[in-house]
Amino acid sequence: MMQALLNGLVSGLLIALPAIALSLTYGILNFANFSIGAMITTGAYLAYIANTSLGAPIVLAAPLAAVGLALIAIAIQRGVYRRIRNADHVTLLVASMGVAFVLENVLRFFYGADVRTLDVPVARPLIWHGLRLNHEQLQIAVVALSAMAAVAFLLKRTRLGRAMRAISDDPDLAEVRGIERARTVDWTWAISGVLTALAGVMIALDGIVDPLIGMNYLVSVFAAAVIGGLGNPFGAVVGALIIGLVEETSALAVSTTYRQGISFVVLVLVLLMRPQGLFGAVRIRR
Amino acid sequence: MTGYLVAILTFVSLAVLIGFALNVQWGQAGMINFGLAGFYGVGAYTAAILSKQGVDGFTAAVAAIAVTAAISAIVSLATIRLREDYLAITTLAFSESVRLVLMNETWLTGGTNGIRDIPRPLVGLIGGEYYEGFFLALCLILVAIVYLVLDRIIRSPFGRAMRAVREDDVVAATLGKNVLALRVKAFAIGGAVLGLAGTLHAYYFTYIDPGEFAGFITVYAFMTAIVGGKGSNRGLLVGACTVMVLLEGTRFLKDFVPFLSAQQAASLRLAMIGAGLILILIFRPDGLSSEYRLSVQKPVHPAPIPD
Amino acid sequence: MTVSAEALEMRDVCAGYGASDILASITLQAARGRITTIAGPNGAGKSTLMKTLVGLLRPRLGQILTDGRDITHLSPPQRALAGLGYVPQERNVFKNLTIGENLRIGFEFIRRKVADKEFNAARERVLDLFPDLSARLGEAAGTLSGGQRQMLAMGCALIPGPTTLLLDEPSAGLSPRYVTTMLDAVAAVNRAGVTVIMIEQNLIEAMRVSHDVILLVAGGIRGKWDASVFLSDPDVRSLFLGGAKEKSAGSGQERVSDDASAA
Repeated sequence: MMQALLNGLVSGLLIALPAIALSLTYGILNFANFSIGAMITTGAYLAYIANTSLGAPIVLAAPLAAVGLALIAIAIQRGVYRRIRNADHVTLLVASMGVAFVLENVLRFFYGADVRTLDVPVARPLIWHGLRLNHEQLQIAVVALSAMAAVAFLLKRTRLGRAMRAISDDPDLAEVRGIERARTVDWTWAISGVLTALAGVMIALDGIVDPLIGMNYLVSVFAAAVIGGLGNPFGAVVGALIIGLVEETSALAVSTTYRQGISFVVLVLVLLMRPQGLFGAVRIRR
Repeated sequence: MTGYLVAILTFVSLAVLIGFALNVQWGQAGMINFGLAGFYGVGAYTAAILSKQGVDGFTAAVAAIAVTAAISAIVSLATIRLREDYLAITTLAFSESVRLVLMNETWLTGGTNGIRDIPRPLVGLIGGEYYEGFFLALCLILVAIVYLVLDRIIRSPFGRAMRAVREDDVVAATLGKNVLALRVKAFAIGGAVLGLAGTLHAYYFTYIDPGEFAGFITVYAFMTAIVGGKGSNRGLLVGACTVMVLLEGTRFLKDFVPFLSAQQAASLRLAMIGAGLILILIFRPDGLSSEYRLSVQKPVHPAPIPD
Repeated sequence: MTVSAEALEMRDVCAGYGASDILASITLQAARGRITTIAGPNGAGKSTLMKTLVGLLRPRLGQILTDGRDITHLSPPQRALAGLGYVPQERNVFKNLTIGENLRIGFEFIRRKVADKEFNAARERVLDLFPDLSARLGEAAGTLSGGQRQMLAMGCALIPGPTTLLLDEPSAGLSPRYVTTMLDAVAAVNRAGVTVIMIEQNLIEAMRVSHDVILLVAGGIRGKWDASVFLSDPDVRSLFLGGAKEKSAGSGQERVSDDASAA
């Protein structure tokens, strides 16, 4: 049981990164980015390319993947989302689904559906009082916590962070107070890309790289963000930990293949009981 | 050649039915269903499982329609008061969960191996080479029936109520419309059509597996709905044909780019469909037709100020 | 055509939402260093006019100039950089951010790359104007009362040192004490050199501090008066209610009509 809790916390930390990314873009752009699963996968593949084709060790491949995905995210924002004239949240939602589809199939085009792995040295897990923590889990914890600290600092203490929070609060007022929307949005996507790529790399480290790995986390990530309150990055972390714990502990009773099904059930329960999540404001239709 | 055409037209009929369902749920009632593929799969598997058990084609179809409609209603209940994003998330999550169930509950669904040799309705009566043609005719008749039924619904007070709710549900509620009931009904009607489409899919292909009910169907459906002009069933026919032409046209891509493997060609085509959806949203979000609406005169200049 | 040194000028501006215009060929001038009130009945288009001045609504036709410079195609952030400050009527503070953060944001995107010392000095000036705010810098703006929120909103608009301040109903929904505070602040700010253009329904209070009044009715300008005589002018009532189209010739005051032919 304790092992399940530990695994759950680590799993939650992993999910937290794309959940934060989802909340950030939701807060600023007011739509749920359905391509987040495909973005996770893309991040993993970018690291794979850096790792195997360029021979970079993971310590280098991960940041390269992060920067790469940040640039791709900005390109998508400028090439797709910004060009949609009637940019209401529904159209953007559907567009993001199209983006997901394109990303996934482009990856499949170049790399096929074969399963690949990152080239990393194998290491022995750590044992502590009967609890097992393997290297990948330790990496996940360290990277995720550092990333979250960085995001918290960014939001609370930098001008960009204030700009992001201001636009999230009231876009028109933000413009009037001198905040350039387009630039801030670009930066938000860049940050989203970095967080999502890191998650993708860590998922790949702990397992495999194939075109669907991100998709396998999509429901969990959304559930985490919704539980926390869509648009609240801090809430997303809490939501992610909850989802991680629930998924891992449920594995004691139900087959692990239903992991996302469990998250679906949790999601529905949260939406029925407290749709605004723990920390959000409920957006009733219009 | 005729065999090819018959096959294409059958695919188009299925696509049109899925599009009709989306038009009711999204076009008319404003509810985003990102889990279309999942509901479609529920319909197909219900019909397949029952048929394999010996239930006759018609009864199995009715059961599939009922089951899919009921499940649609239940799924929509969770997010009925919330913004469209939440329904989109929930339906997608539902679709993923359906996929997991299909893959794992081998005793029921055959797991990743799927279900083979689904008995086709009336195949004993109409044998061999005429069956494909008969089936196409059946599909086209059903498409026509569904079109007429949905058209009546769209023009009815219920249809107007749905659209009122889509535009501004606060106003609709104050006018006395039961917003919740309307939304659930609309979603269920769409679900019923999806159940029918799934059933036809199962009978036509006689083999289904979980991999068929993937996101591609959803993207494709949205594309046909948007190209045709959201909400317009007539436009949908145009949309479905356009998208099918695109789809089939790119099938021949392999001939022009010979060094692509089959897998790559398939991925490229799917990527192009996704790109197509994006392009339509950017350049032609209102599609090619417009929806049924009593024409309204819009004033161009402000009224002159009376002296 | 005289060379324009007006703080703010609109020439033949037509603007609206969707198919029809709310503002029909508006031409007006607001002089530098003065307080101009835009008055008019509900639905006249005053808020639309503000939004057009600020850049949240693009005019279909016409030009907007400040100190002779054409700003018609500038975005709201660019106009803020050009010296326009704006206090909206509602939704005028960032509710989820603290008072201190609101003020910081008001400053840092317009006065970029400026030393902290200058920000602190600017903030002190604002807090001198609205002392109520100093005790609560760490609290979320959403917890403030209506009057305090107005003060904060005005503080945020003032803190970067705008040359022209646009106010949309600064006294709306406020108790009499706050109304006086707000309008006294407006007068003080104007004495310090800021041009003020405001929409105000509370005309008695507004006339106390204003220099000029422009009357907007049903999307059109009906005239410009000196604030001291506006309320006593018999024409005003009939214009207000839409009866007459223009100020009558015999009123003896400065006259501005809808078209640009007036000198």
